[in-house]
Amino acid sequence: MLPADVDRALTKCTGRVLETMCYSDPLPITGIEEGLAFLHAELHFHGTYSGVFHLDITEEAGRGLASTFLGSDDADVPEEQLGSVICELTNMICGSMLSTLDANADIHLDAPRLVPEDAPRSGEVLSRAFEIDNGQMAVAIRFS
Amino acid sequence: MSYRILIVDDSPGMRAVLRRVIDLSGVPVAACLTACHGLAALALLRNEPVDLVLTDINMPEMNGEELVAELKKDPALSEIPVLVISTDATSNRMQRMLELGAAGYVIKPFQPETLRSEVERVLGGVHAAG
Repeated sequence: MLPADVDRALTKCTGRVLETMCYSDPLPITGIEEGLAFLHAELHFHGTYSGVFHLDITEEAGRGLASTFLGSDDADVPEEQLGSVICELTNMICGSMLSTLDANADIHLDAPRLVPEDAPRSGEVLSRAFEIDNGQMAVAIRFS
Repeated sequence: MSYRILIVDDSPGMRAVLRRVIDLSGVPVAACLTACHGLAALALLRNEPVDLVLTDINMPEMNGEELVAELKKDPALSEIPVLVISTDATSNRMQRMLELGAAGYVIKPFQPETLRSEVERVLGGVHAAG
């Protein structure tokens, strides 16, 4: 699998998921701004390919996406629902990406989970950052 | 006729989205039940009449593939149509789920219209059979 293919899939699948489920149009940027506080989710996958997928998003942007995702008029989404939506978006982007990279693969996704900001990440990671409404987000994947 | 629909997904956010799409679809719904994994769904189905099951695949305790297999081997439950809703768009998985007896397969992310038309198609079959 070529890094360029993975890079394209990261961008394409993030856009597709956010546009379809949250009516948001993520704009690719060179990297996330330093000093911002992010919510972090990770998902381990197994099968034809194994590794871990990460999603980082600024809290206000996450709340905006969660509110649209849930069809709520209230931007003040409860903490538990915010976490659930961030995890579901992680699940959708990762699943969509792996299916896009190899339509004949055998894919098993663990349950996504929120992790602390200082959770360690090891190995070579391919990542993409985006500007979205009210903040920024980044997605990253590491194959093991 | 109003339908009783069971949503099986470990994500509370996804359960809420599916419920909202169904609520807004115009499909007459008598009850929208939820379960957070296949095992909870099976227990519920053995006690409650249900016309359609919408299920995710990747779930703890019992996944969607195991749930469909269990339903299809139980004579009391085997006729309940199951619509799979998953991020897994690989041909192997879709083929396997349909071979197990799933009535349809919707790939996440989905447009509400796509899910609505699949629900209507499958419930149309239930209506015709009834």
